[in-house]
Amino acid sequence: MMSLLESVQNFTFLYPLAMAFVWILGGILYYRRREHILAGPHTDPQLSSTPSVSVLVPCYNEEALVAETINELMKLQYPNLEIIAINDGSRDRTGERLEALRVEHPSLRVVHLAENRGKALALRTGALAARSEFLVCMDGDAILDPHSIHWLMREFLLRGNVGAVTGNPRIRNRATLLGRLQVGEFSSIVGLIKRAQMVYGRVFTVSGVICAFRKRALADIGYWDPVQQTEDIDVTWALQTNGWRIRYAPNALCWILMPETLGGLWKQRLRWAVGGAQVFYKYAPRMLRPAALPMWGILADYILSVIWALSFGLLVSLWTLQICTGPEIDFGLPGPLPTLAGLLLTVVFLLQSVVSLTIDRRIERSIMQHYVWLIWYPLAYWMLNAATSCVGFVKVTFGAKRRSGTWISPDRGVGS
Amino acid sequence: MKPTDRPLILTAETEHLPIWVRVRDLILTVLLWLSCGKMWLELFPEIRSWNAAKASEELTYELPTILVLLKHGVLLIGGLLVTYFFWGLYTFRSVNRDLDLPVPPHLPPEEEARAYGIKPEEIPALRELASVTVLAGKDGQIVSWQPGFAPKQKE
Repeated sequence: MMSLLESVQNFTFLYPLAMAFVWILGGILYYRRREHILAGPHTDPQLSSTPSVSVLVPCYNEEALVAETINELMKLQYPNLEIIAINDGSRDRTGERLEALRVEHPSLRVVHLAENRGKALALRTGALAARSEFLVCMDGDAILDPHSIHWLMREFLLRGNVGAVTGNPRIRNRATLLGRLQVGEFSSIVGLIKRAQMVYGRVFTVSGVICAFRKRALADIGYWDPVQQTEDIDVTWALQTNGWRIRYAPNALCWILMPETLGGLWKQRLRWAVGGAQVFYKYAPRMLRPAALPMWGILADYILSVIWALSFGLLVSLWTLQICTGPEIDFGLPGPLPTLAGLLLTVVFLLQSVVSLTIDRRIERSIMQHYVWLIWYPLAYWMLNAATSCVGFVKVTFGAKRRSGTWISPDRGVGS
Repeated sequence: MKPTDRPLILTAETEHLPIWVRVRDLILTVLLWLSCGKMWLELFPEIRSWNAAKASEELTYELPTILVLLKHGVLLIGGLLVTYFFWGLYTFRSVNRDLDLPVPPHLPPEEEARAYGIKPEEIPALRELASVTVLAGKDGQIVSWQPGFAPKQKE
């Protein structure tokens, strides 16, 4: 029993340590081989042609923020562009607001869904209305950088087997500690992992808030699956297991609003965890197909991350039990306060953050100032992510493997 | 409705966050850095004692816990990094080979129409409209569509 617990303890220490070094190496390799040769994100790359692009903006109860999103879209510099807002049966005045915006901007097209069907079906219907072969999908409360479409299209035009391109989400709301912490997180975790996964050759997920698709590829996989909580993770796995490639465009920036309360953050991360677990159960049986073999690395990383979350949860429970029961029952585990192993992990995480923020300075010169807040990450976020992973995985394992993706009105920061 | 001329980056100043919240966040963060720093310093005495024990050939002295853990992990991490590095080089090469691949043909409207359960001739008509209301089934099939916005009746 003790040796088993010792193994669990060693695993909870070694897994994040090993992966941190993989992400650091991957981030550096990607930067050296692919990223540092790119011009800055606020310039347009040279494109061999500018094929027509449709931007799809699914909205549900977005009357407060949709005008900001659409007005900013009208400033996009891509020459051959169509903008389609999809009102997914909103219960507020989003429909009326979009109609008013259509009068203001005659190039805007609006698709109203008579019934609320969730983001996946809103995107699917938008794809039908779109005249272009290339679709850029974003959220109704996000802002696209004026040059982002150029950078997304660059990846499609370079390689014929690219089915999707994921952009680089950047946090707008930096008022509170949670907001500023997420600025660092999106750079030092999300951005670095994406770069490292590109070096591996497959990604776990595109960013649903900014990604572009080739319609041909979407048709091959039957478009977005409406019974997945996170349509972006599902479509990523569907494309890659059907022979399509996904590319990352770090210069395709999209400015997003993130939760700035613990409750909002919990709901968001739990939805991501549930989505990840649903995708695992859907795709695990298909992993023996030849086209799916390269996904094994991503699958193994996901499985290990879930085992890590469960192990971490077990250890925390035992520590709590030990404290409650007193010295009569001894599990032989160290106390709940950070041990030397925990401190070493923190040091490695801070090293990882230095690497990722240094890479990210190409995008945002002042990003280093967020380093100071990242000290919270190992303490607060690892626990939050471990908890949501455990709850999400258990929920899907013992609940519905397929459940319709529904819109949840998110917390969008203190000012929203 | 929110004003549409908000700055791109929303800071504590632009969001009028109370000064006490900002000071609290700063103080807590400084305290966390200091307490982590203090605990990191605890590493050194343990390593110093181990070095001293090794120097005096006191072989019974146990390795510091962190080194025991790392001893098992170094081989694993090293192996993982070497494998990942060479796999990464292989990926870069295959991605470079992809540059020669031809661009796939566009999706034909007939295939799209089939996927949505509508007639192919409906697609150009639907795409001409600046505003359209669509009734879609739960499976994504189009049940009906009509030009313009048909607001839902309030229940």
